[in-house]
Amino acid sequence: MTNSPPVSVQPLLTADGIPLKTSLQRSMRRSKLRAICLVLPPLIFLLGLFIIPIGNLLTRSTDDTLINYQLPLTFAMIDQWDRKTLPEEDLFEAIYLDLSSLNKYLISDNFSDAVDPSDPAWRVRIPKKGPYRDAMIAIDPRWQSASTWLPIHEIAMVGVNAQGTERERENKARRAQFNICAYLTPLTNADCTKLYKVLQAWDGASAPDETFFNALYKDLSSANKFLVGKSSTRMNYGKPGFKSLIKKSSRKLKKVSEPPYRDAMIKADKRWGDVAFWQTLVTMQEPQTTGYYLNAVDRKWNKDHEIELQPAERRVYAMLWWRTFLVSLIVTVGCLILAYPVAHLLATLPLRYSNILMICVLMPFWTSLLVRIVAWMVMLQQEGVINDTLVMLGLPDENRLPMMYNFTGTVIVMIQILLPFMILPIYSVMKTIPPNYMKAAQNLGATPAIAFLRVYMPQTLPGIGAGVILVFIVAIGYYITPELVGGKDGRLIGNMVAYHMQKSLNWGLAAAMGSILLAGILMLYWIYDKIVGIDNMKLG
Amino acid sequence: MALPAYASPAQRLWHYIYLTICSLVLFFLVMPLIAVIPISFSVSPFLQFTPEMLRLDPEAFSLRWYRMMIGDCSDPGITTVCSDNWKIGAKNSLFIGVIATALATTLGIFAALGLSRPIMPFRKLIMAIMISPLIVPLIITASGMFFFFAKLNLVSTYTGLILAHTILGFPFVVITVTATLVGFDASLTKAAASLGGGPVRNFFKVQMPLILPGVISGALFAFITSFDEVVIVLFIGGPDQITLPRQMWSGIRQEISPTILSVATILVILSICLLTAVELLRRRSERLRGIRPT
Repeated sequence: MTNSPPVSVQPLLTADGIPLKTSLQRSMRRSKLRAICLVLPPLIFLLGLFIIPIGNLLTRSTDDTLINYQLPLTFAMIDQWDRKTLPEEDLFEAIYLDLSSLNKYLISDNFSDAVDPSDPAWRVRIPKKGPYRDAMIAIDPRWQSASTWLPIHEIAMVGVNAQGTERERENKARRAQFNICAYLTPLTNADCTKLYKVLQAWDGASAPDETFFNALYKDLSSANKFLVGKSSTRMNYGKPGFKSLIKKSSRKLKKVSEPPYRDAMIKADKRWGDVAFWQTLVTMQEPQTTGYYLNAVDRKWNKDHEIELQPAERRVYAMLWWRTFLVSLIVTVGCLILAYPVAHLLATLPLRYSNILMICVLMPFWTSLLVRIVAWMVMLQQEGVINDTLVMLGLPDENRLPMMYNFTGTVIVMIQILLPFMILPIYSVMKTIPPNYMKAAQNLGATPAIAFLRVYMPQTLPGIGAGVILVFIVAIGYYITPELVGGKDGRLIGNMVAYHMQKSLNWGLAAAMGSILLAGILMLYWIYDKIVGIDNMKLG
Repeated sequence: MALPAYASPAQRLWHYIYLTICSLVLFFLVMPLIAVIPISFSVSPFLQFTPEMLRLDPEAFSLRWYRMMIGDCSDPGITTVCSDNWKIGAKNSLFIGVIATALATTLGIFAALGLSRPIMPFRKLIMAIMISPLIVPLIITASGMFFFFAKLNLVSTYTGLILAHTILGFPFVVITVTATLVGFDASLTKAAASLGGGPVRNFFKVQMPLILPGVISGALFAFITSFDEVVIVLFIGGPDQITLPRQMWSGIRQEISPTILSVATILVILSICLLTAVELLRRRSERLRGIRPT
């Protein structure tokens, strides 16, 4: 080897004298920028209207602020309790005030770690029949100045000044009433109608008089009633019976206005004397809870902060998770068994025949899901096509098979609906396998069965993997089909999420179950990406 | 796949079993959809083949359920609820579907063009985000949107439904357009640029005609997704927003009448038309990009 010639230190230049490196970098940067500009609008759209809502849903699964908002005093004092004996008068007083007095809404910094239980403002009594002004100002003097009322007035004026048709203006007014309450009591869903009315006529400067405080009292009372209802539902998740305890005792405690409260409350409902209810309150003290997640797998926190099983009659979800997994597994395996021969046939037939058969595969794929479910109802019902055929073939009329509104129905319909998702990926892999391999294997002495098992099948594994994961992912989150054909024992976890979203309104639990489901699906999706790559996802 | 002449009897037998299994599976796939069609023409209000129908008695067939579907309630023999809801639903579904598809297609083309550029930072992550509406179960999407749209005052509005359906349809457009761009010859745009075309003009004159098949089939997917979507409508739609799937949903849940089968029949026929359209487009795309049909 000879020495290489000395390398030129002069940088390469482009035609206009700029070093090539700089010029290239600049053009790369420009190209990158252009790509980002193209992707940005859809990305922002998706982040804003899809990713953030889902993230927001997930935060609900641990959110326990509502109960803290309702019981600030109680939770500020419960740490001093020994958690074994019945609490003293001070804790009874705290929960009495938290449930029935409006002071917490009037104190400016009511909901934070800085709650000071010794602040006399908590114990100022607002007379039930008025006048309210003096008492409310005694709780927090900022209420006497007009500037405290100005932001509320502004919210009200949005509704008052609304334009448009009568219906639109009505909606805007209702929205404003809702927003006033949301400003004063962020976690309630009440409408502050009285304040809206009073503030309409206000000039925004004159000192607020008794009518203002009257309206404030009335609106806060209804908001508090709403909040008590909601938080007692939350307490009921911790211990059954809590809701009825709160409901019953708050009715009776209306007559009680003077301390001591302890005996009066136990007299109103003797469950207040049960330490177990107080111990449940301890588990709700943190504004973040894992309780919903535990509930979603039939567990709960006990008073010593240990995880324990739910009582036997409340254990439903573990079984549902298991059933969801089982249904998805059966559907996946069923699809695989049915799809494999069909994919093979499609891949090996001459094009003009396979195209016709392909229509059979794609037609259900393109048909509305609900149409397919209706079609299956026609097939599977008691008087349906399948049962009628069986009866015609000699099945006794009274032995008609129950094939719908049960586990079987869900599985049959789901297999038919998801079958194309299995056939298509396997088909596309089989298409690439040269038929000569099988012939070669047989020439070398393998029986057809061995040639298939050792030569053909291993080559189809990527397609099988893709199809299996795809079908499993889709099946595990299914909601519509089990809801319509599943009946009682065909319900899956998706149906439970919907139930808690729409019927029981236990949104925390719905969010927790959704999060677990989503985590599982993302994991499978990650595996899918490793095997197939999302870039290779094809449609049609 | 024909059997070779030298096949043994066992092989022959196996071959016929295999063909039987395949035809049974294909039958299983298509049969429910086919069975619906004759029953939708039945006179009887029951969802089954009556003995008269099996005898092909002309008296046993009628168009009464189709008349009911379009809101013609003059038939005296009908006891089930008859309303304009099917017509309203079809109109609303079309309206929402068309606008959502247009939005999804526009956004999807942007995204696909960006993702197909040679230099794109975080390509994988962005692609994953773009596809995510396909992966997340609808029930979770619907729950999340319910809370979020309630805050934005979009619940029970057409705007809310259209935005939600845009998101659901968007990944399909991204996938199909990205797929057409994979085989796209970049020197074509370079040639166009060297001939003096601006980026916008180049896009519409050179790139667009070539990716058009992908765009259209993506748009069809997006449309059919919106047209068939029920969970989101149930969660964030108000009582005014009757869409076709929603009407079917309540039809199935409350009182299932043959009217629903006539709607189903029409939708099956529609799906066959769409399927044909997509298939033709795919072939055209392959021809345009010079890929021989395989």
